[in-house]
Amino acid sequence: MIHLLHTRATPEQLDEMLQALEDWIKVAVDIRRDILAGGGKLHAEGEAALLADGSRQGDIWGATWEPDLHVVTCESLINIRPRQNNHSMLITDPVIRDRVVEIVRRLLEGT
Amino acid sequence: MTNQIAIESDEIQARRHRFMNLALPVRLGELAESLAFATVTSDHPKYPKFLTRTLNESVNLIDWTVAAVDPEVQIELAELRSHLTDWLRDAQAIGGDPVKRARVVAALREWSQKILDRSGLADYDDWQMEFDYPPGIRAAAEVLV
Repeated sequence: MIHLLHTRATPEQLDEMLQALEDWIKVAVDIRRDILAGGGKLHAEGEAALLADGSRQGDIWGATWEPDLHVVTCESLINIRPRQNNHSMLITDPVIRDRVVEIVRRLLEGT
Repeated sequence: MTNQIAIESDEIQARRHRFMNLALPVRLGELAESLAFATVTSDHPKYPKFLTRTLNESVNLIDWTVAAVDPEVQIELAELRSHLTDWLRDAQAIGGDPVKRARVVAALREWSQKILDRSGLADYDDWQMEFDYPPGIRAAAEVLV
């Protein structure tokens, strides 16, 4: 189940988001609106939820959160944005990357 | 037990159906992402379990893609699949041996980039619009923005 999070996820929301892939959660993060959507099989599903909620494409970045190890990986197909000078699946701009990690940790880990 | 197997089978079928609806370059891109993700947390004790799950996923994505690509790419995917099944068999040993692990992680990274190059997605200014990804969502989303 995909959840659109403005505030820290509840344990129930985390459980529901983990149902898609069991061991990790794929998220799409809107770095302008400070929100994320997670819980689909593809990053694109979270991205679609954000777009439908009014997010702008250029503000959305993909990441994956691994709850057991508290690892955030900023590598996703949706991060390939030649128009925004990001030519790989990794987010190459450290400012954007740090922002994504910060939002993921705050909304999924509460830190 | 039978019920559980049936449920898993349904889920894989649903996943396959969703994946097969993606444009071919996007399917290759998803495979590249899956291969790259298999390298994450490689220094953790739980890595063999993680590796097994992510490699199984990559094998599925290859199986759902190979029939649609050019013969040249089919050969590459067949070679990749062969490596993945070897690494799946040896996942426990790979997790316990830093040298083997480093070699597999490097190979996965190399294959990920190779498959991503094959997808051609990085050659587009906006490949997501080009390939309607996610399917059917983007046109409506453009109206909302």
